[in-house]
Amino acid sequence: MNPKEYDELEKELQSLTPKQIHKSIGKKIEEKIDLKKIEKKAKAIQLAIKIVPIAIAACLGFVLGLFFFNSAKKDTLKFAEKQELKLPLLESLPAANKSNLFLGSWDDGIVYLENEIPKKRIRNQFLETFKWEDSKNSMKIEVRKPREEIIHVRLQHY
Amino acid sequence: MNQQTFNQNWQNWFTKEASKFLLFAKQQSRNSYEAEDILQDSLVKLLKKSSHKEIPEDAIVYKTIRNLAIDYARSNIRRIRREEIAQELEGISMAEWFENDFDKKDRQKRLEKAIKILPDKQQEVIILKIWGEQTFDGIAEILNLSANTVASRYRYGLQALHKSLNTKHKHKTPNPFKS
Repeated sequence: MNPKEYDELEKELQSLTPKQIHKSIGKKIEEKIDLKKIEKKAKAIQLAIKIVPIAIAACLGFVLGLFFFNSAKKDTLKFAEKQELKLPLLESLPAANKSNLFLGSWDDGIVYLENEIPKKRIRNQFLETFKWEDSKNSMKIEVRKPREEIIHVRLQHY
Repeated sequence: MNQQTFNQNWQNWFTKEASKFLLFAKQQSRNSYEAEDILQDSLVKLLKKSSHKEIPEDAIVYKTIRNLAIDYARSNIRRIRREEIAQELEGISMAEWFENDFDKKDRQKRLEKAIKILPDKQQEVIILKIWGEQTFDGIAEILNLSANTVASRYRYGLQALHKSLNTKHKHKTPNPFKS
């Protein structure tokens, strides 16, 4: 057999077309490997890839926000504490003014006390005011304190 | 490659290439049903292996088909023998390997018959070379042989085909290589 005969035979063989595969086989394979499911899964993964960084960024933002909010709050408290510490003790301040205002006297009538003779009760009311001033800080402190005084007066015997 | 593109590529590839794989699977197996099963299992196996991301290479598909066909033959050897005997008794011909061209029907039938009566070793080399469009080196890799052995089997196969086609047989040609 010479090479020419080989070529002719090869050409003749090549002219034969293998029998086409039935479409159902392709579908069966697709069902077996479940391409649609894989496609859905891949889409879900892609979506997750897009969403996850956003979610992480949002969480990170929230955490950072919380951190800064807390630190700001702490700073405020610290500042307040410092301010409090800066407040001078009242005793060390020179009293600028002190007044004791008599508001009035009220007769509460006769009271009967146990094992005692009846007495007349008089109630006196005052308003005490204290003022401190610190010229260095131009700070003024004023304290008002209402005060009541009860006096029992012996009744005259008839 | 995203999954949608892969699915599209897979469908195109399957439509274009599957028939030659089926031809090889038919040659490796005993009947067309088993050939379809082998092809199906091979492709599923390869796609799963690549995590449905890569279309397998032709050589790997042929190799997988061959290995699976051997596994099938080992596991179904008794059943296959029974089926073969039953087919012989009922006069059922083997599965058709090629499309029928009405104008060349007789010649095609003779060619197909001549190929089918070739020894298996020559058949697989001829199928891989002519319809699988593989090189001798490629075939050697698929069949785990040397390229020289493949080339000589191909040459002997063609010689046997030529001889068979140029000899007029009045009776059905028995296959001397198949017991």
